[in-house]
Amino acid sequence: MSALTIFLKEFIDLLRDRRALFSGLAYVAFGPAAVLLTVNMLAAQTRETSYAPIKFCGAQSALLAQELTAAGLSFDPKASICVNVPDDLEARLAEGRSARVHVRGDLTAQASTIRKVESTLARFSSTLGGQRLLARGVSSSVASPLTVDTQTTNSFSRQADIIARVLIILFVMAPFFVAVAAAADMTAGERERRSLEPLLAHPVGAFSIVMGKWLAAATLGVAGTAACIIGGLALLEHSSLAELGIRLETGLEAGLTVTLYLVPLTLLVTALQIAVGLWSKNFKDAQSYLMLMSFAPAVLGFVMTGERLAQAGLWPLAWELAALSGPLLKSTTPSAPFAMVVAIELALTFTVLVVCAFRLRSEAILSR
Amino acid sequence: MITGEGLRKRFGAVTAVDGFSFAAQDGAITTLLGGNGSGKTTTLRMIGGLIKPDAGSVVIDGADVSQARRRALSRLGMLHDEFGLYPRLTVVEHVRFAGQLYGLSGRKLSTAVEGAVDALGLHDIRNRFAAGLSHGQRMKTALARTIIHGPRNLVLDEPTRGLDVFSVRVLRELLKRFRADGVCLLMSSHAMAEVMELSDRLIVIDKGRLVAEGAPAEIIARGGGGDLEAAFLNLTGVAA
Repeated sequence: MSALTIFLKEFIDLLRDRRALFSGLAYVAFGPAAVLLTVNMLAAQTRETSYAPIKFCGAQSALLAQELTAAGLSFDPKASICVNVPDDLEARLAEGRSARVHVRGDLTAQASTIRKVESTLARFSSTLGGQRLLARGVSSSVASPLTVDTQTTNSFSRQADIIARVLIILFVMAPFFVAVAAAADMTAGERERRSLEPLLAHPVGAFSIVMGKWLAAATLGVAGTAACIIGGLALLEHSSLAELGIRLETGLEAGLTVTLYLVPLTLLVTALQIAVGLWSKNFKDAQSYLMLMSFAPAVLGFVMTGERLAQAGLWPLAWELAALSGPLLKSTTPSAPFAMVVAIELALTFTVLVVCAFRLRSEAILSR
Repeated sequence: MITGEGLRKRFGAVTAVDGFSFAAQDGAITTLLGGNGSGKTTTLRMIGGLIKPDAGSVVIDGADVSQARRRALSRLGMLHDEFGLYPRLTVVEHVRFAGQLYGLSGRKLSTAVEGAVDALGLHDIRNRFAAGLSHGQRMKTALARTIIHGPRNLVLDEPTRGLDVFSVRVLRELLKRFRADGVCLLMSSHAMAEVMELSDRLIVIDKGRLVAEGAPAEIIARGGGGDLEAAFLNLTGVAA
């Protein structure tokens, strides 16, 4: 009963706390939006589009212009990609000598056009070289002992793998970010504004106080995580993930399954946030420690991949990072049974809350 | 009635309270008088069950705070020196929350909330958030929260500190009313005028030990006459 009273008070307080709500909602709103923008930007870069125009800077070469135009490139005096050839290019070529050609441009923004110019010039150079050898009675194969033929089965596989991993990390990070300010405020904040002492002087058990606070933070955590996942997937349905080779399940069923998978972790993470808050001297300290803690999924998600992640089995966080690829990517990677993970994470949550209750009963918590 | 017997508390190398005993009777205002670091706040925290004595015991209406914490605290109302209000809760929400923590519900809770709001004259500001209250209004809100369950024992840690003359007057009248109702009042204070005006008994504490105990006139006499301030300084050895 006391825990419920404290939960209701904390929840009302939380709904009026603009700082905590903004902090939680910012991740829910901006996290998926940032991924959507990145994905669409990457897809736009990868997409087959018409090449940017090019120009000769300095001397002109009708021969190269003909080759480049035939390869689908166009010339425009205002173009920013510039092909610089020596004045005597055609004379040197006719005499069987070599010539240096410079291609200048923004490799990050115009990579596909520059690569096209390079490959066209390399092919022209190779053809010309072969003709010169033939004219001297030497087969062109003498100069090319190896012919490499590459066939890519999926040119986006690595990029797709990284983006899929980022998506999973984004969702697993939600429980860490959503309730961070709320948990800090109802623990370290309470201590800082000196309202903890009057609260502890009531005939209420320390565990009831911890439970009430945890329930309030966890409610926000679960609601925010669900909103982040379901809203995020709805947003990503309009993304260009498919063009990058990622088949993401964006339906409500996938959203609800992912949310369900993250509920036990959210409860555990919120309990840990309450613990960190109770051990922090003030709100700022708590927020700093909790922000550091929030990056745990990102660190683990990039360090542990593939088999190492699968071997992590029942470890909290590692399980979620591995298991979320099931509902999101229809991956068949085996993971430990959900029921076991629920049992382990709930047991850990209870243990953390008991430790928090001991902390609340300790005299050290009242020291200034 | 609140009694403390052989209370001892150390924080590392510092002995805050050293074998201190006292008794605060029902229907009387007992004041703990002591300088900074004398052990007053530590004693009050032991009464409120916030810290445990290394030795000795505190008993409230027959319930030992260490052994029957909930029963003891349900008989006690405690006003803390910094009030500890929640900036985003209204005055009436504070009072209601405290009532619920004392186990009140339904009609009993509503009646108690209205009674506390009435007693402190909080009608005009009942729906205002604590963040916008003046110091006096904050004290009244905290006091309303303290008396919501009709405690038979009240502990007040420097209740008049920072209050304007109007708020002091309201508080003074309220404490006198509680005394007339037979409530045991134990407070700590630095304000000598308040102490003389309100106190039935004084307990002078210094370095965690009992220095003198008695009615204000007795303390003045034991301290060499004059006024309470001079007597207090004499008894604690500061005057020398």
